[in-house]
Amino acid sequence: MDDPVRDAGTEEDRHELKPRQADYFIVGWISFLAASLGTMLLFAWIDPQMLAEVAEPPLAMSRMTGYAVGFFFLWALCLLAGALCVYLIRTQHEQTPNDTDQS
Amino acid sequence: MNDTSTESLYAAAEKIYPREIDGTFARLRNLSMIALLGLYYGFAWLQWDGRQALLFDLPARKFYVFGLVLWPQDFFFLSWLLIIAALALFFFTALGGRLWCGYACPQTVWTSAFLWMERIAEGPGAKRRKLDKAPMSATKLRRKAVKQLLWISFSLWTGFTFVGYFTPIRELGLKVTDLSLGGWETFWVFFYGFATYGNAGFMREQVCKYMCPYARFQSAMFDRNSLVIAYDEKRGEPRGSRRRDADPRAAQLGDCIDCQMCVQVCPTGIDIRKGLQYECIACAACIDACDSVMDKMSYPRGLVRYTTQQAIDGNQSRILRPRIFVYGTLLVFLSAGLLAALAMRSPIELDVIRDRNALYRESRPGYIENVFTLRVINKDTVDHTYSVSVAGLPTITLDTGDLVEVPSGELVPVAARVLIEDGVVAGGGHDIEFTLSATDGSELTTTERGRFFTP
Repeated sequence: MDDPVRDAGTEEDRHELKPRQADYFIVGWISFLAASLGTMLLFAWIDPQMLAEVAEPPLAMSRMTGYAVGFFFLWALCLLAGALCVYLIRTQHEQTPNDTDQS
Repeated sequence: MNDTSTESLYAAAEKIYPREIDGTFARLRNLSMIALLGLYYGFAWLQWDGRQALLFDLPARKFYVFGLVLWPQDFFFLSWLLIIAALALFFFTALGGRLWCGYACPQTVWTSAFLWMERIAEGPGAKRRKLDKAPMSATKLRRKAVKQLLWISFSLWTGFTFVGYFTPIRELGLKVTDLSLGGWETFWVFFYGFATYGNAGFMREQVCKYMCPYARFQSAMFDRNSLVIAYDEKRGEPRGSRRRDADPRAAQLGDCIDCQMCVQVCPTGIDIRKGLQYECIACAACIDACDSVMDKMSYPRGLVRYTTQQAIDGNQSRILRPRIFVYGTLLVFLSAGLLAALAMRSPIELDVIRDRNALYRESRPGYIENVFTLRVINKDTVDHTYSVSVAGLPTITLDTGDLVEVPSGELVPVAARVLIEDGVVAGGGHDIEFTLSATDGSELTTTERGRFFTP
């Protein structure tokens, strides 16, 4: 580092994620975190093997399968909730054309 | 789907090539990175009392934390620990700002490790930018291949270590070497490896900018006395380039020579001179950069420095303030409480489960029988032998083997047939008590209630 080099990124270089793209990542990541927490809380109280035994008919499912199924189920549920929230927030003004002119 | 789905999700974000910088904080950051990565990769292999020191054994539903064996019933301790961790984050944020982001967050630590590997394969920032813009060539292919090889191996190792905290890592290692890894184990190694690769290799600072909840709500824990990294505007402005020997006062310039070094080293690509921004992860790279430039110009250091809003405004910063007291006191009480609760935790546990099939039976003439399953759990680190007794009704007896041997960290189910003479109590349900006492001189005892039904 002799002289400060002037090849820093210009303003145009430093684009942000487009809002739509950021939405996917935010919903995906936050629902992942929520599902992880949910999996922890759920299976601290419930043994998936017990669930498999009391199921009608009883399921031949190992604990590891139970945890994984539980986690992905919760993730899918959180993804759905998150995606719908974002969708409704983003489209609320499109639904009421009178509003759009004023803002 | 919408129009953006056709292009790469990463395309719109211009890649940032942070320039490497050496300095006090860079060294601190490296030290912290090495220590934390060492803990993560090393702790999985640590042994304690002949078993893995830290093992969250999910298949067996038991957590080993050094000398402690935690059962699902002890989940309460884990939630308590998580509350303490959250409060500690509040406390250190109020005090030191985003120290967590700059030095300890896994996102930062793994991103630094990935950047380091990228540097080994492709050279420093400016060179990487050139390489990315150059057309494909044998050299470019080779460098990219080396980088991917390093990244992928490191990610898989990370995934393997992660799974190693949930199933014994030594067995897992043997299974990898003789290719007998189970389906879910393989899946989670790749899943976690892929997450590491994606977050640290590609998403990087965008995780902090767009996906991190803490980055957004940490301002609620901030006040004017929290440590932040800031540019001293009074001293720096008006900024402008000048000759090294020029007198800035004569040229009516501040100390900032507008060299852009602070911008070039920033991993999130912001300009600290625009003031405090939520993208700033407080990594202090700009402090190191600016200090090195100030040294070269023979100006005093600290044009960009750790400071507080109070100090920038020319006031005295206060470390001791109500917020710090509240967080600090809560933290001390909760931690002391957790330690006390862990120390006083009963090492035996008894669950009484009624037989589901029948309320009562008249097994022998003149006797009423109820059947229970007693689940005896030994959470101690040594084996114990217990005797079981029952009380609460006249003529009550227990038709069960005398002694129950329960090895350390095991659960033993005991079928207990409880009998009373017919007609000694009215019909219906009656409370009875089972008592478990250790017979090996350890004076452990516990009592659990059950319900006895008569016709």
